[in-house]
Amino acid sequence: MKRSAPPALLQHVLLALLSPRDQETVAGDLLEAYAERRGRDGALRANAWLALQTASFAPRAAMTAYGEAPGLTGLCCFTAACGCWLGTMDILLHHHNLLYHESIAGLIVGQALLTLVMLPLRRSALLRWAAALGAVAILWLGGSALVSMLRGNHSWEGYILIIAALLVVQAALTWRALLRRQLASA
Amino acid sequence: MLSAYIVGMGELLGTFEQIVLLAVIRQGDDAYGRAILREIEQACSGSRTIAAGAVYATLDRLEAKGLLVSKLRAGTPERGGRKRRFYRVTAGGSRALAEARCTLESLWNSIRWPIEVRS
Repeated sequence: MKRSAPPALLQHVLLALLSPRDQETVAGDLLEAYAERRGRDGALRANAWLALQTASFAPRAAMTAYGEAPGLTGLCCFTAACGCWLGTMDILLHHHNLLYHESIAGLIVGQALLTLVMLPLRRSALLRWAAALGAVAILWLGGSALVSMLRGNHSWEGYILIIAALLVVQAALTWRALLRRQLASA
Repeated sequence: MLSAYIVGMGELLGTFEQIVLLAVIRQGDDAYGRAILREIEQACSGSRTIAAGAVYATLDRLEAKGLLVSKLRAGTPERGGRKRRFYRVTAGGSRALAEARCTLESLWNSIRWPIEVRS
């Protein structure tokens, strides 16, 4: 790597935020400007400038990505709120086996946030894999809760049934979004 | 009548759109993303950092409206060989700029300077 090259993480995030049409041209423009600024202002200020410029692409990337998958976006927002609510209620009601219940709430919130971050960062393979694995985890979580409730192993609680069903749908939509992205890039 | 007025308002260029179009015109044959960004930064007093995301989003929007056209050209070593996208203002873009200027000038001309502010 050249000494005047920007940090790899910044380059990675920038490329992940750009649409396929802009990846080569816009990244080239910013690389050119970065080299000029680095020579004039030093590495620290040039890195800060590039970080700001990279962040300026985030709103558009997010709007485009969320617009392409409005169902998954809405579902992730809802399940994240549900996870927060479940976690808070577990603490307030002093449920036994608190760590287990908090882990479940954390998984629900974490997967929802991960998916919301993964959607605009188009090219990040790491986030895609993490979201795919997370989708398997919430599918198992939602599916096992549904099966357990339908078999009568647990008392019938409507809110758990709804959250479990939504987690299964969220997992399916996440896989669909990942597959579509894979097909589009191929 | 009213719908024509509303459509007209929708077609009127925004301030930033005018700035971007003017920067493209000023750059002439060298109007690619980096040069346009630098031109706008210098025009906006030179001290402000202009968000590249906003500039590229505006360029894309203007191109979608048919006010700009773009063409890819080969890159240079300092940009890692990455291609450059050069922009050119269309006849429609030039007309839209002229209309925006005309509208603003007619409004400015009707105002006495300095503006009196009643407290």
